Amino acid sequence: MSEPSNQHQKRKFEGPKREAIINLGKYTDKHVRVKLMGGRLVVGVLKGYDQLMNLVLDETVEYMRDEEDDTVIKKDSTRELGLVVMRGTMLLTLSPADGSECIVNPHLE
Amino acid sequence: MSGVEILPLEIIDKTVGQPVWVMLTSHREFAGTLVGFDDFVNVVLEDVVEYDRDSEVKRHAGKMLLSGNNIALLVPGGKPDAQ
Amino acid sequence: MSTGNGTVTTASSEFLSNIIGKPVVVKLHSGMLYQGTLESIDGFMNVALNQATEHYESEKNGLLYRYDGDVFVRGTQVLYISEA
Repeated sequence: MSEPSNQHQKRKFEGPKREAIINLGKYTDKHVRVKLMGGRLVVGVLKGYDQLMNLVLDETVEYMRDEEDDTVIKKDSTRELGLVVMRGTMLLTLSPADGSECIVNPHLE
Repeated sequence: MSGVEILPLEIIDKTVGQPVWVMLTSHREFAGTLVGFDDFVNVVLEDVVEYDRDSEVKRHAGKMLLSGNNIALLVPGGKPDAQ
Repeated sequence: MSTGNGTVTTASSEFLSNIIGKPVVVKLHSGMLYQGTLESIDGFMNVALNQATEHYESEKNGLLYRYDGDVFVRGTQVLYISEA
């Protein structure tokens, strides 16, 4: 007999979930840095998106990774992808690229 | 939901019949002509070249249903220097 | 267009219904490649092949095994199904 309350809870839980937790609108026409499941890293200009966080990126550049070690991103090895559609299901992190830069690893030396 | 100018699935819809370059989460990539796709972005391609880390693995003359499960990026226009 | 209702539709289902009984190649995420006659398939991409051969990545890499009967492949592991 636990079903009715269970369903009630489920509805309550799903209610606010529809709202995106971040408004991607403020990033449109801005450079964003996106990490994907599996380790790919791309930087592009956000041109569009949907509720599932599928993205449209323009002038997209993919950062290539070390052949021996997938976790190492080669800083100066990139390839131009241009206009791309990125699957929201594969999105790990998204952050504005402008105003960010690589720093020297402070833990070394 | 306002001010959304370009919908991702609209872009994919517009590339039906045109070359597309599909990149998975792994190092595997597929270049071919987009025949169609569904709600899960399972993708049907035609005349596909399959790559792993930029080296050609296999060519597929006919149609191919590529599972959307591991698709990370779709690039309309296809892979440069493919075929 | 983006109203997923739990069923595989349009381009993919049309493709699937058109290739039943035809020779196909099925690749898994592991890289294993199966070539055979497509007996049956469902919306989860579960696949049943007949008279299948097993290769790694490409037929060029040599024959690993020959299945005389049916082979069932679990849909969750399928990377692609392609016309042979």
